[in-house]
Amino acid sequence: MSSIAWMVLAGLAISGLVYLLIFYLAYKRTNRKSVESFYMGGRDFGGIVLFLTIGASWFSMWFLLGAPGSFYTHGSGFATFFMLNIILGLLFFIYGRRMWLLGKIFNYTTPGDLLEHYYQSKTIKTVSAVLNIYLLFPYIGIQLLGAGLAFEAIGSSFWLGVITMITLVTLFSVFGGIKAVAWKDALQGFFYMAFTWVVALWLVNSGITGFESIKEIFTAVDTNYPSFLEFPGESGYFTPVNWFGFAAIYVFAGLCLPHLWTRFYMAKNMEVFKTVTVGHIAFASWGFVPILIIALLGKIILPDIEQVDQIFPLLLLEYSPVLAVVLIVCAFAAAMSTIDSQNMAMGTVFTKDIWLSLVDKDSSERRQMLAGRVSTIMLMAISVIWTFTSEGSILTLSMIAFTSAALLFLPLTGALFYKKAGSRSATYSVIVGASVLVFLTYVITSPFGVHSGVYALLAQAIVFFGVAQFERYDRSEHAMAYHSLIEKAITGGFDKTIVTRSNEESYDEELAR
Amino acid sequence: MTKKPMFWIITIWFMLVNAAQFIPSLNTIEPYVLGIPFNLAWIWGWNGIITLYLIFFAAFGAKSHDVDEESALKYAKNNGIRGLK
Repeated sequence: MSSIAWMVLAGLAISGLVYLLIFYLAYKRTNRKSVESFYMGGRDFGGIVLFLTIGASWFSMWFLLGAPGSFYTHGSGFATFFMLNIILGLLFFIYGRRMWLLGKIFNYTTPGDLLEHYYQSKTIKTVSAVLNIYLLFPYIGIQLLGAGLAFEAIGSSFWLGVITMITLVTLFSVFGGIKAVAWKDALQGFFYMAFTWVVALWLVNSGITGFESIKEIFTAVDTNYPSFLEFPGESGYFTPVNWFGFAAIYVFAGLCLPHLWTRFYMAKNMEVFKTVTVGHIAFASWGFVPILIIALLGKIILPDIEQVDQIFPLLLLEYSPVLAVVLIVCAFAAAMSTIDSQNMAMGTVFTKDIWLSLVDKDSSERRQMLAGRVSTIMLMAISVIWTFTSEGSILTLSMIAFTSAALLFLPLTGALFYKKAGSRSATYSVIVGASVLVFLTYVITSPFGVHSGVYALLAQAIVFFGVAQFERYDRSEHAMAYHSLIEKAITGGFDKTIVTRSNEESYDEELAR
Repeated sequence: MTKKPMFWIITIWFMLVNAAQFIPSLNTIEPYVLGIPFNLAWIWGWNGIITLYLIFFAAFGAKSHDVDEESALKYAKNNGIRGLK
């Protein structure tokens, strides 16, 4: 092995020791026999940990390798990510607070819990569970593939990378619990986000690349690639339809991916969502600025690389092998933070929505924990097999994963805001959306160069709002009461301090009279 | 702060930040703003303003409340929410 390979292994060993320390601290604070403690962390996450764990789980290895490659390929068209992450941050505030309070009142642990309770339908719960588990297979698989490729790139064994990753994430998600996962995610997220900023600023300010300022970089790109910086960008892919389509898919998925949805139930209080919103915008929207700078430098310095996802490590290898080593350690951390969160979500969804709902309703808590752990290992094994047998189709599957998660957005919106839509609107719309997605992905090519997910979401919206006009769930006492409860809770109607204060005031007023 | 002004502020931000997709005069490189091409500076400028607004909103505008589960569950039961254990 080369000296760089040894440096990477040393870096991974050092970071691995830090992860084990976090694991130990969280392990001691988790009741491993309690589903609530193991999977929900006692619902006491503060703002900083929550926004960092959400950000780290949301970004994955794609942020460090895929995103620079996408800017490199698409140019300014990819700038939709600056905008969509602000909307996502806002939705964390608008939707997240409501999901949190419902989770707190009704003790929800999975997306299916909320949907089943509001729509009074086991079908929608099962559909959402199947979607949730299915979409995570390729998503986890890609991260494992990335870990293997990272090891291979440094001259080590592909399988050593995959096995190291599996060992670490199994340790955290099967034995550590959500607290261990979230604390480690927070550290990893902070670390790799800070790293991208430091590297980008260093590359611009040190003059090492031959450019003295950001304007020089932009001017050089514009001179050599005239269409790169103007919309729709060099590839021409990000037309307005795809620009907004991508925004919709990513924003809806960002809220509905099971490992993110379940995070909203874990907040300590409503105040936490202010930090989550502002933190996410700083982390995720502005976090793309250094990624853009790296892609621009790559475009000028390494214009003809074949594997665009390697642009960041290759660029660093040109100037600082040590930083390239740190990048691989960061990419490993990014992948790990996503997989273990997804494993936890798969375990929760399987235990609650499949095992407890369909297999063994009277399962003891101990048995539930066992089912969760065994299912996590088995589902991860399926992800590995899926990844290494599906070969070229894995990227297609990852896009299906995001759109599948996005298909849960309208049923969620129905539960929180749109009273007319009932179980039929929710279930049929998800099934129609998923069918359109599969049809346009596997059977025919998506027409007019528009991403198949855009058609899927459009078809779903038509069915959802169309069926709702006939279904009129707003005439049901249950739906009206559910929405009225949300409104009352969000405005402080169940806040003890407000209720007590107003009682005291009225008492004082009465005395005065 | 009420919902309505916030809704309009976000809507206007959304229209402005995406305007360069439809208005060619905004989708240009020149003039550079602080070294950044105009179309990108257009997005970052509005994003910067909305970020500051949201920080201000989080600090001073938004109210957070605690939820007393017992009274909420009692309310749910009395008002006909089904599926309560």
